Amino acid sequence: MTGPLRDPNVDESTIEKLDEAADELNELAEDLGLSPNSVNYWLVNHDEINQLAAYDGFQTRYPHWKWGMKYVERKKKDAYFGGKIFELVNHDEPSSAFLQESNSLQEQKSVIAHVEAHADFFANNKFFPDDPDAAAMLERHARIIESYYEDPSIEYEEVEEWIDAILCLENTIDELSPMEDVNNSNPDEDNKGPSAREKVDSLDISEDVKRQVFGEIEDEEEEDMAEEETDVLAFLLKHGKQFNEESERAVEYEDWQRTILEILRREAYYFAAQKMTKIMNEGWAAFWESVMMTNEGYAEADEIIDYADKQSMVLNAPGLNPYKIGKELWEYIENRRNRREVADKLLRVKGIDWRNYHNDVDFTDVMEKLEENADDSVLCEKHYSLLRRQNLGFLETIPQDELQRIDRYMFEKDRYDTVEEALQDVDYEAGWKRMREIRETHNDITFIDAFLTEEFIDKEEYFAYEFNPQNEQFEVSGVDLDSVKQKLLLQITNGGKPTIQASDKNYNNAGELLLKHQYNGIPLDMKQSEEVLKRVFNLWGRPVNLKTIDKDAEGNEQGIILRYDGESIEEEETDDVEDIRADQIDYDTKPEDWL
Amino acid sequence: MDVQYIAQRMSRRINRDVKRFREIGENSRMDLEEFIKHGQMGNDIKIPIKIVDLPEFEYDQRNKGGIGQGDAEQGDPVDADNGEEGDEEGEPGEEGGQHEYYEMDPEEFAQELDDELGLDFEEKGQKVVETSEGDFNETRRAGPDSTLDTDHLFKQAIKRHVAMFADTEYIKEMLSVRGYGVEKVWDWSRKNGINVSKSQIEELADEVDNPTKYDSPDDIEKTLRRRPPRSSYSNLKFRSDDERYRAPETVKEPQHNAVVINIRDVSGSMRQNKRELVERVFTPMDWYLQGKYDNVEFVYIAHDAQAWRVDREEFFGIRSGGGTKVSSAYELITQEVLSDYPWQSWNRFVFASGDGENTANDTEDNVIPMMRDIKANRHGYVEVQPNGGRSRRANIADELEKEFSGEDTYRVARVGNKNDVMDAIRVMLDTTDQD
Repeated sequence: MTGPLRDPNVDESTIEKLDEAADELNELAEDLGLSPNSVNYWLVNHDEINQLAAYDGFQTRYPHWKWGMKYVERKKKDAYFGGKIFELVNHDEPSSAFLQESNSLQEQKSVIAHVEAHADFFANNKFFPDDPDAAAMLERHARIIESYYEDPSIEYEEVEEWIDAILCLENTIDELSPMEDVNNSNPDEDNKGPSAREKVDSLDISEDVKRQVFGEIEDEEEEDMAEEETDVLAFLLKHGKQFNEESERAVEYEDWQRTILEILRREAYYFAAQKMTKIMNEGWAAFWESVMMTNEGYAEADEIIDYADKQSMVLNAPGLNPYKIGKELWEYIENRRNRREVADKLLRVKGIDWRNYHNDVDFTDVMEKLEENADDSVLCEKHYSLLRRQNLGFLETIPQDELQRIDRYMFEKDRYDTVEEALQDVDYEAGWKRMREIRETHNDITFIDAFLTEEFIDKEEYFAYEFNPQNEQFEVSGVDLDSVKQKLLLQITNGGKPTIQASDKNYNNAGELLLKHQYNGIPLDMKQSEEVLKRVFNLWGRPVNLKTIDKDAEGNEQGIILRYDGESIEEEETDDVEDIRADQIDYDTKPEDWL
Repeated sequence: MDVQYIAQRMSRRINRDVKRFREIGENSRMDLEEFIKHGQMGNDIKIPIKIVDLPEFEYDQRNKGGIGQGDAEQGDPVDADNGEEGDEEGEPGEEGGQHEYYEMDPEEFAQELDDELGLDFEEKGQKVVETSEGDFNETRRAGPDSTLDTDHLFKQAIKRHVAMFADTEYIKEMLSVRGYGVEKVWDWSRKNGINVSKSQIEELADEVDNPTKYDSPDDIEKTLRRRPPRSSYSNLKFRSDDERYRAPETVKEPQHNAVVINIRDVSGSMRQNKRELVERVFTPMDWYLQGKYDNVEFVYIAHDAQAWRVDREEFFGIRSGGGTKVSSAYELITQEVLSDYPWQSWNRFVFASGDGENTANDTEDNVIPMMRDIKANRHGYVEVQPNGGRSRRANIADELEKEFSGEDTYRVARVGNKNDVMDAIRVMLDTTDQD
């Protein structure tokens, strides 16, 4: 980015104050144990922040109407619902964060605190590569694609439609693996000359005759095709063709088509990290923002209300709010670890074990001592979670089985003579240390899987809901851990989208594509799937098929294969669906009697 | 940490993308005919834009379900807005399959329908145009000082004042109890919901003369104040956010008046598929007339063997068990509705719908004469008969056609399936000859 421009409407002292705030908050973050990567802050106006948000936090993206759509939507939300974008930061080295000019100093401070926490997450979570060089990459991509639009030998609409088609498959990558390089030109193969199949293909005779006369010809390449390919975009790069309307045949991709496919695939991989850590990341930022602002006394007397307002506006947005559940989970993890740390120490007191823990420990006394021992000048002690007003009763709620578990593996059971002595050794930072470990190694799926407990969903009153076909409305389907966890995992696995894999590049022995839906109990939106197939056809050049399982209102399942040949969609029933049924997972939580 | 200004303006790029989006949106707006065949019937005219909604492999929404928070039990109904993830507060990389709607107001809709169907609709009625300023009941965020709503401003400031209040005098008394230091008083104040920070208590501690004045909190003479003392109100802090300025309402007199009286047979034979067809015909007509007249009122009448007024939501949905006597509706109109809408100043449209069945002779003996008696711009009958099934008794359309042939005010249409909808609308609304 080039140097700053001075806007005569904003004065020098505002910049100074913000500079100061940014420095102080960065220091505070480090004192709290975080290690944010470096962030450049930019002051922008209202319109600009909407534009930047439309571009996913960057200044330059390739030309496409979808950005226009996002921008228009943001502006509308802004005007009608006051959807203020409080923070906007991207993952890069250094990251860029954008502050709205119109925010009050209080708001800017809370945004900065939030951003610093994000910067720490980006720097430490293993799913984020260290030096993505994102802004430069996206700018390069933009220029390349712009050049195709401007190329007089390529039709504008063709480029746009090509991009449109690929965008429909944006999520069909292998998010959990690093991006593999796809090399289509294998020097060894070139020397072999055309394969047997290719030789037969080049003869101008009908498929039927080919099959009859030549039987099934094995392609050397087919041996590689043993497994399903989750990265469908890569699969297309390797084997896809485009459909030539005039000759009505499949032909190789043009260079520009191949490049665009590569570009969009690369971008999908770049953004995958953020998609699959959204709950953790937002929760993390909301958590530390809160610590930094409220508890730290950064908020002066009348700013508390401002601040509380904003937190509640953000945290109470409708729908699944990743900020809210993320923050709640982090707080729960913090508390649980701290609670366990105290239990660990107390269980080492002579005369206290897991059996008499709840009877013989005077928790009021313990709390008082924890408070007395807490040194306000040490941050983790000043903000010790167990001493916060809303957590005062948490310590004693440790479940029996957890106590048992701690006790079972404990050596040195009688280290302390008194409770007082034991409490001197409590590590006040246990919670935060554990949190820091977790933010390094987990993504949303493992996060939810590991830390969503019965205790948590009971306390926070989470429930799962489904559509009840009998009553024609959505109803609570369960308040138990399994139901809630399943519905949540469904929303976050693969970005809440079904997993589709490429399975066969020579389906029906006619070069057709077979896609398989990894069925987990929830059927596809069939209408949309048909529309996608039509576009996949353009990317494959030959008929495309999708194998999936449909479910009717009574819960009866039926395997089907959808096929699109360039003209129409056909649907065929099939019973051979064991290969797509994910065996242990069923994300359908509808109770039996609803069906 | 350097705070800087954003360098180049990005407007050029985003404008390019917005322009393209609008081009696509405009051209690819689902054409009206298809929309009425496939689109949703609601109170707002929202036409889905086809191309903008890029399809993706997605779960079937109904089967997907979700999670929520609240004190709930299995079976409790849930108001699922079917929303995708909650706020995308500036987080990059999030893109669902978006549904974009092109919102039309009724006038625009009427124009489109005119173009689509080649209608030529002339409104009648007096032209009366009057605007006046009404009461100062509207509020705005800015305005002349004299219109500032001081009540509101004060109320908000007082609310805040009360919420933030903490009896610091009492806290000082607490600090004067033997053994009650900052920590203990801090703890006590939290437990008693007193709004004070630890640092404030520390400051107050410095002001305490005698930290051992009392032996126990029970000895404290002062009583704890839960609300601010009167005197403190002179120091209220106002916020600019709370400023509200009164502005006058603008009241406009209508130009043309119209009343649209919709009648529907809700008897047992009118099943879901028939009701849906009725909705597909009547809803666009309502919108159309709403777009053509300045002031339109809608009257909804349901009938089986008897007639009664309903509101719009009920009109399309309900179904009774009884038989059918179409004239009951016209009876009701004559007795109870017409007086509200005098013919001199109101344009009237009376549209009825059903599956063509009526009690013996009722059409001939009652309905037809009443249709003649009730003065209106238009009387229409829409017969819905899905799959072309016609029972022997489904005669209304035939009888009306025979009776009113050649009379422009009376229109009859038959609808067998979704594809007949547009034609039916055309028949109902078209004004070919002068009337």
